[in-house]
Amino acid sequence: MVTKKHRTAKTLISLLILATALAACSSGNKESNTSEGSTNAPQSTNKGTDAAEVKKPVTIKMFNRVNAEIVLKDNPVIAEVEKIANVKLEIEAPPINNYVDKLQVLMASGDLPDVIYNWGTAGNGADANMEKWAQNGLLEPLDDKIANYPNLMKNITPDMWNAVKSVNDGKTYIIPRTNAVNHWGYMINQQWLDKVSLQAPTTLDELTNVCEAFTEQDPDGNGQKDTYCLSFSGPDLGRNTIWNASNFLTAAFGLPVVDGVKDADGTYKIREKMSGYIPYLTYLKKLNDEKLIDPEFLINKIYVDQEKLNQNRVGIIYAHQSTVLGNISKDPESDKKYTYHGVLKDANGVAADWVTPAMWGGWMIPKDSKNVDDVLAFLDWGNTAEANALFQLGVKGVTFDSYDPATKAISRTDEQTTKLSTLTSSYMTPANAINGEGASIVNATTTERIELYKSQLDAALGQMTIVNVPAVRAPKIASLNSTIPDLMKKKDDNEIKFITGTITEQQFKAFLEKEWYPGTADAEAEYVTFMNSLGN
Amino acid sequence: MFATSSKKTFRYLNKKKFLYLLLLPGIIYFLVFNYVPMYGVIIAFKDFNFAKGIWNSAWIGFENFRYMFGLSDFYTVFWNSLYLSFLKLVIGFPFPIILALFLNEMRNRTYQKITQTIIYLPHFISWVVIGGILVNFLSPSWGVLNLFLKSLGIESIFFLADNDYFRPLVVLSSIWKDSGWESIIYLAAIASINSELYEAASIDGASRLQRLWSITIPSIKSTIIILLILRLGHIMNNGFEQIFVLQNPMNLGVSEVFETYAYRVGILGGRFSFGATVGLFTSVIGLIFLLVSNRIAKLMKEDGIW
Amino acid sequence: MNIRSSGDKLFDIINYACLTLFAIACLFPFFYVAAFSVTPYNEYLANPLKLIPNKLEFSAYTQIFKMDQLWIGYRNTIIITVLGVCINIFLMIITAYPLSKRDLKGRGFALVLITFTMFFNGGLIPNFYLIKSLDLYNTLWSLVLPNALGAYNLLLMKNFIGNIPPSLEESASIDGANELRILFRIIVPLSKPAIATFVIFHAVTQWNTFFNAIIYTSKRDLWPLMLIVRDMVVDSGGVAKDVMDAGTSGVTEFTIKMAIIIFSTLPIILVYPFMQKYFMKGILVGSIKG
Repeated sequence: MVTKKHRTAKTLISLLILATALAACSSGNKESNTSEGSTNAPQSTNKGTDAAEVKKPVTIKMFNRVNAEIVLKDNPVIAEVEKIANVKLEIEAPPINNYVDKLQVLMASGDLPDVIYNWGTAGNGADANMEKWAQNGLLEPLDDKIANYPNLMKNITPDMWNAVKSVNDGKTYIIPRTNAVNHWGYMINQQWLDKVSLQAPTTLDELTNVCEAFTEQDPDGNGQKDTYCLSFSGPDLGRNTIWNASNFLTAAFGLPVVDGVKDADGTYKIREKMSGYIPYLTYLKKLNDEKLIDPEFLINKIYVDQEKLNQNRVGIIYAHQSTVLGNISKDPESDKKYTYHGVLKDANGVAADWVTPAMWGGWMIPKDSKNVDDVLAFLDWGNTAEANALFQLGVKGVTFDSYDPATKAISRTDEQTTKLSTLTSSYMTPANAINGEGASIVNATTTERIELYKSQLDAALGQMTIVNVPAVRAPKIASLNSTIPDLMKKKDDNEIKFITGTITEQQFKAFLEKEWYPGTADAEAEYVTFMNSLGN
Repeated sequence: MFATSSKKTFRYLNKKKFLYLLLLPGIIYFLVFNYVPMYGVIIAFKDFNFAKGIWNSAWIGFENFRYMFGLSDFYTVFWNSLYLSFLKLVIGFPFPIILALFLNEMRNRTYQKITQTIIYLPHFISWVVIGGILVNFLSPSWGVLNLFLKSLGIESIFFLADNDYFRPLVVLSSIWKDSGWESIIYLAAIASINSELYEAASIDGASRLQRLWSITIPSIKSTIIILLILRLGHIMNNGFEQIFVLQNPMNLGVSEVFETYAYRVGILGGRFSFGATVGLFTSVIGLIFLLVSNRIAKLMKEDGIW
Repeated sequence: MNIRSSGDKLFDIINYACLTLFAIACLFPFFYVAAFSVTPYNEYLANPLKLIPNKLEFSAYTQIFKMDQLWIGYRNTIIITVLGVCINIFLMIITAYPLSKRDLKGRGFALVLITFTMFFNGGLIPNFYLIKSLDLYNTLWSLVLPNALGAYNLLLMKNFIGNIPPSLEESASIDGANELRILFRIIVPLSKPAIATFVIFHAVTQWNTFFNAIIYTSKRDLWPLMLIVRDMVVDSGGVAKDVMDAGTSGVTEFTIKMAIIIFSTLPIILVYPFMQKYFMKGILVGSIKG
């Protein structure tokens, strides 16, 4: 029946074209047909064929999330990858903003490619979608195979492998895409600090001091009281801003923004029961009452805090080691104006640098795929420094002039920088970091900048104590947003009301006691049991 | 008997054959592109399994609906969606009509054309950008509006965090962005009016306002009514992008509507097919509104949709 | 006579004043985007609402012009817009005309059938199967046909045609003209304002198409302009994206975003002034005589 309609529709359409008599139409359609044919034919005959190469390159169909500026057709970076890895890559890459929409359709379509990227809301790729696909029998369990691939085993840590295992059956369905390890802290306007003759704060008291100075002493020198000490920004609905961008501040209360860390008394609790929870909110309330924090700190959309910093409206925002240099593309003076520092010390003088397994989604292989081994071999190569550099930096002479892997110094002409943005990006990499580091440091184009980056990172690491946070594999606490979205929202709302003074501490605590704790008791119990089962 | 009736039918069809022939491609189009895939609606009653597909996934009946109605904030969201949409309708709907009428009364044609082109421009700027402008404009500390209020000695207002200001802000900003664009359809309706009517009125000595009342408005009345009915059919839709850019944790109590709710629970919360459930629910409500308003229009002897 | 014209004058003054004020307000967002596309970013930082730049800087545009993907997108968008409008207008006219005949048997059923499609659709997956089984996957047709005819505009078009006085048609049918002739000789010329409206509406819809391209194509050479623009203008990612963005620094800058908005919307904005004469007909006759 469908085919019949199909034919009728087609006849109709052809008639319509005749009626409208448009030359442009037919050429458009033809073009799309020819391009479809040409992708299957081998490209780049002028690349110099290797006589020693006996094995025929394997075709790998890859489904990846790549930013829209990248042109995939006749891309010299991909050609180089194909040559070195002896593969033929067919990449389908929906744009980043709607990647999940297409991925859902693809998974339902039954016609799966050889390797599929899953981004996941938690960042590690082993999200509710992956669990669902695994449960529905669409994915190949990889536990028996991965041990044969040395680079995978070397570059992906046991913590990462653990983090992505299915919570349902404990099997591995996804290969983590490693990412650079970020040491979160804050970024501060150094010029303001110099003006008010203070040091970058390391404790809560010092921060309070700096906050007062930044707000009262007109650090930008425009004669108006129009500056605030700090601001936050939140990326998403349903993720309360104060829990996203505030590692540097919550650390002072021994309160991590991630699950999986012990409280001061050495036991595991949900965040809302930890000893630092109420004091942290109370401190935010104080900052808000005394007008030291940007009044919009609860409503800023993503990146707005950074814009306010660049606008000389606030002096401190959350950041990691690459943010100061990364900000150069927004404020050319960034490396001269701002400095990066680690998190604040808690009451015991410990500045805890909570580090979670550094992943950025991962790769899935469909069940019963014929070339599982070829895909794994390709990903294995993708986890080498050579492959990582090629994907991140592109091809010498095309996207850069020179590169020194030891110092990560790289030089590019403006022309090459523009080329780079249309040929490759970090979205293209099979692994985005080797041993926790990327192939280059963002915007570190001069030796001074590399030095600056290294000295600030070293200083921050010297001050902080790294705490490796294991992957929390307690599904209930991770899925509160879908099981009790109403209560989650109510808690966010009550936190905000407490901070802004709409409700008292007593009322807030009453809400926690009467609604929140009972509503999350199950999830809490599961979480605590899981964490205790890890030992130590 | 059967023979005569089929003969009659055949004669009727033959007489109207061109009309049916003209109608055929459109009907086939809707059948192919809208009705063939419509079976997907059943996903709201199923636990979708990727391997089994829509047809073979297990039925779960009204489970998704039970979950949705069971959420304690469901009724708040329902009220928010309905109330905001109602405000947009009452205040926002007449605005493009007034614009079109005013534009039509402009005598200087060049000025008219330029004005008309300018007021349709904001439609092309996405809500993301408009939202950014509004945030800068309304900021309690640095925003132009509050600086102005301060210079008058008035305490600055935190517009985007204040529940009282959210709805007016949404209504006004959508008028600002889209009423120029929406006025195009009314301009077309006015342009279709038979100009002899105006000539007759001029001879009778009617003033411009009189002509506006007695000719222009009655002539575009059926267009207004049909647009109103269609709009009522979308009473549960508020436009995701606009609400999303103006929404923040502080105004969530009034700003959460079905579109953002489905996004939050369905996509961020990872609850598959919740979007389909919400979509089906809002569609049914919309359809009821459309049917009732169409019925009322009919009772008032106006042209409805059918 | 004198009283009437002074009343008219007052009306004119109020009318011009209101519309001018509204126009100024409406010019603001577009002017804002245009101004900041040629303003150095540090000037924006200094005052995000200052609209007259001290220094004009066109480097954002030169950078955009070098993006191959945008030019590919331009080509695709122009094709699907022109093609889409032709098919849409043709289908709308031939479908709306019979539907406007109140005495046509089966009309009510057809209208219910059509209205229903505004409320219920199968969602992504069934639509994806449909496009695949029609062999439209990975062709530009998949960006044209699925929205070639929409219930909303069709019902409006039907309403417009229904408003044409039956007397005009009757005289023609007495002359022995069949419905096809009446449609193309009488109805279409009388519906020019409506047709112009739907040309604009559908051209803008097609120009802004992006989502279908994600679902119905797998090749970047088939992407329309707005898909690329949208991906570059919207920041909807989480912290992970923030971290990643540092790697592609420079391309998501504010100035480039502004320039890209202007670059991608300017051609479609220019459609309207060319259509304006069709909205003037009634006014023209009226004002000359009045």
